[in-house]
Amino acid sequence: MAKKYRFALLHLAFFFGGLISGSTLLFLALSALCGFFPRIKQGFGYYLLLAVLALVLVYFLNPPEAALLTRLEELLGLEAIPFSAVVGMVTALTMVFTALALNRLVLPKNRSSSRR
Amino acid sequence: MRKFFWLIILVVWGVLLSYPWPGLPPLSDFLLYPTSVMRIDYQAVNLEIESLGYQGLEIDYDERGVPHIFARTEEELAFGMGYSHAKDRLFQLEMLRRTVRGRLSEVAGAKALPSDKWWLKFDFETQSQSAFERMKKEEPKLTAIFEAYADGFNQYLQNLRPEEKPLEFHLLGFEPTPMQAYAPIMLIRYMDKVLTYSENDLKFSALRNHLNPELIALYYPFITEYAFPTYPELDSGKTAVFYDSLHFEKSLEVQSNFEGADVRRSGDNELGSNNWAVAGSQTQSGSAFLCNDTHLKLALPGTWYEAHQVLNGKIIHGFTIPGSPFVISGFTPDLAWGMTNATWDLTEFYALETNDKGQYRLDGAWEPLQAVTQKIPVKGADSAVFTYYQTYFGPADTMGDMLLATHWIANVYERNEMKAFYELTRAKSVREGYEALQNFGHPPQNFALADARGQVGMVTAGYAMLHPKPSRGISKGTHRQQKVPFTYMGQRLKVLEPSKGWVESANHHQVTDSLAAYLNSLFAPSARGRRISEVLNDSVLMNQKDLADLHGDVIDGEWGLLKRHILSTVPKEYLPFFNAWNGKTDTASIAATLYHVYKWNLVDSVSTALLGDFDFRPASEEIFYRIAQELSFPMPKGDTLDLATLSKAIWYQTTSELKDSYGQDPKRWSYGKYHTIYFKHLTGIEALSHPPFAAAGGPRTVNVSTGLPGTAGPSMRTLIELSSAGPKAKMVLAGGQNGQPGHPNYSDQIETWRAVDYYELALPKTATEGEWAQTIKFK
Repeated sequence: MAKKYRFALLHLAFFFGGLISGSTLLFLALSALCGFFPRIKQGFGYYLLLAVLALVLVYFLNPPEAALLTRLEELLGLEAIPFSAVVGMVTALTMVFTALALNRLVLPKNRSSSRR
Repeated sequence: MRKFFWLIILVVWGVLLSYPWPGLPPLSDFLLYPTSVMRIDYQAVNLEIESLGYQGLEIDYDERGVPHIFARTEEELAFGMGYSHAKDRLFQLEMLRRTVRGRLSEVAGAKALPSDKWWLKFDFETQSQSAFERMKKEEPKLTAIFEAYADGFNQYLQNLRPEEKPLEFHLLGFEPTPMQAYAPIMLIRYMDKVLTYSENDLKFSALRNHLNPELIALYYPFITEYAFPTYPELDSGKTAVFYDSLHFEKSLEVQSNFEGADVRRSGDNELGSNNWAVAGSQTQSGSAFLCNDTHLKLALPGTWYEAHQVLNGKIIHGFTIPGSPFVISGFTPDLAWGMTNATWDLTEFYALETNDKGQYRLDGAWEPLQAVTQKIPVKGADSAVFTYYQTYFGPADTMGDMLLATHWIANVYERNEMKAFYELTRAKSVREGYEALQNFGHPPQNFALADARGQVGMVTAGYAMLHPKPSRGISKGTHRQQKVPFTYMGQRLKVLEPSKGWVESANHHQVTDSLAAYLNSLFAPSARGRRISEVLNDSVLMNQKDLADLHGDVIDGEWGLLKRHILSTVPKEYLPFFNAWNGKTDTASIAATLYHVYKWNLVDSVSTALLGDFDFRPASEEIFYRIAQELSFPMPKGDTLDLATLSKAIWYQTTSELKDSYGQDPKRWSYGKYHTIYFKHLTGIEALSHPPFAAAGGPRTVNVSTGLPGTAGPSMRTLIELSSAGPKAKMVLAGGQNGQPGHPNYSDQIETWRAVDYYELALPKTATEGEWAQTIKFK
């Protein structure tokens, strides 16, 4: 059980590192690493939860410029959805898809899910 | 297959994000957090930066974002200036350089092609490089400063993380490019375009298809009795010379109306400026004062960037233009200077006689048209190919249905404008300032000067295009001698230490004798200059407040001309609004609204009666002057405009328009509803602009505003007092220091500017004297 949380913490750190890296390549590589080990099947919800947590942490530590976002939202015609939510959603899904794709690729045959 | 399900999802997702969707920024960069605009951080953090060769330099930013650059050498100062311009105006400088280099389409798409083609035919980049190489031998000190400026800019760029680049780069999906040391020379050409380029000559030629020579002379005179000089002291004393017809090449005929020509409309859309200086003998404090406000586009960011430079304890403060290491309008403890545009005609078009062998006739022989083909990269489309021709008269291109060569002041590299500004910072007196300005070639400017001894002066520095005869229209380009030379005017047009104790300029005529007709036909209306002169003349021992009030003056300078006509024609139900109205265009005034709408409808109506759809209306001041003089308005078919009938129709039109716009009750027609000011972002994107607001003033007030809504006006204001006790100064910038949308200093000065208020300057000599929002030290 403790090992499972250790991996979750590690995945969270990878996601967080990717987010603050400033590099798309590094961001994708670190997201892929989350899927790379442990070689047990992880679910969409697991990665999504970690991705959202990492994003919340990043937004909290480095809050976006409110005045800039207001102008951007006006420019893009975003009325109901804040721009930060759009970026969060696209970023989180990218992290999740990348991690999941690698996770499934490296999964040994007949290995059961971590939940089982 | 299930093994690859998420991989397929990822690939599809990746394609969606990477696909260049038309009209959208690159989504992968824009919407993925690591590279998105969410990473832009405006928090001011103190920094220590390693920088070889500039150790000891310190830049401190105050609350308004004004850099205070403390340097030991001129190179350090320039490095700090380059760094600050990059930090605060990166996108503006990128676009300025791309514009002049003709490389805008590469990032903005095909809509920028006309601009690129226009600039490319002058090839200012190559010419600026050559001028810089020449300058290296003649002025090594100056080129070292240019190199340090570029180093400073590039140092900032080198440290800039891609995700922190300004919003506009994210939106347009491209990266900022390094600064070149020759850029200051190249960017002067941009100001030339703004301040001197005009295609009025094309319209003047086409005008012959619509009006006979007598009517052209009547409605488009070179000069009238109403003209008002900046230098009355220099007038020959003769009444102005009048020309009864224009000097056109008789054989030259044009078919085109030159729709869309870049026309300066004799003041109706002018970008002008005000400056005045008052000698110590005329002020309460005994100190000389200098005021300047330059009328340019009210853009975000604006043209100007304020800077406080300290070189070994000596201060230089004022407004710089991004791309230049020097203060352009400002002061030292010894000298203050400020400028207005000389507004001369400095563009000449030559019609070439060509044959089908790719040649043009020159002095009786056929010379080859040297074709230059340029490939222009275009974002989202194939590269465009553009061909123009090098000729004796300048680059030639097809305009209308003619091959026209353009002879323009910006092609002159003989003087060194940057040296002029460099020398101004070292000058100790008005006379030394005048000497410094002998280096200034273009765009020609009226420089007001004031010194710490209490003296003032004015010099119009720069080249004029003096035709053998006053001339307008397209010229024939068949003989070398037809090419009009540029003549330096800096020694001729000057008044130093005038006995009246003050000088002023506001883009109107420098002199009203025959020279004026040779200089141009594009002078601004005299309204602002008259008003400034009137106030300065009537005042006894002025103080700082009097001069600040003049900056904010919103009395319409043409009310005096039109008052009698307005009061005698306005429908009686609206007459009470004009009771006791003195021409003041404040936001609450209803008379100001009625007056403005009527007067511009009047100009449009006279113009339409004269020219129909041909878009080149006569100068409004000439029309108002004729009305004031109760002169008739002859029309093309020999008849005369019945002003009484016309006036009645225009009042009906005016009040109908106002009822439609603001309702039936005239009490709701306040000027502030009619006249607003709008600060537009450089790209014109509304969301990045400042919303329009009600504003006093108009195109004929000292506190000027042009357009509806007003998009041009005082782009900055300076009020400088110089004395032996040291300088005191107040300044305000239209907009803000920082060009990044949403930055705390993006538009923070607009409210102060709107109230015609200023910021009192602290003028520290050392870094320890100030409280700073941010400190950057170089080690």
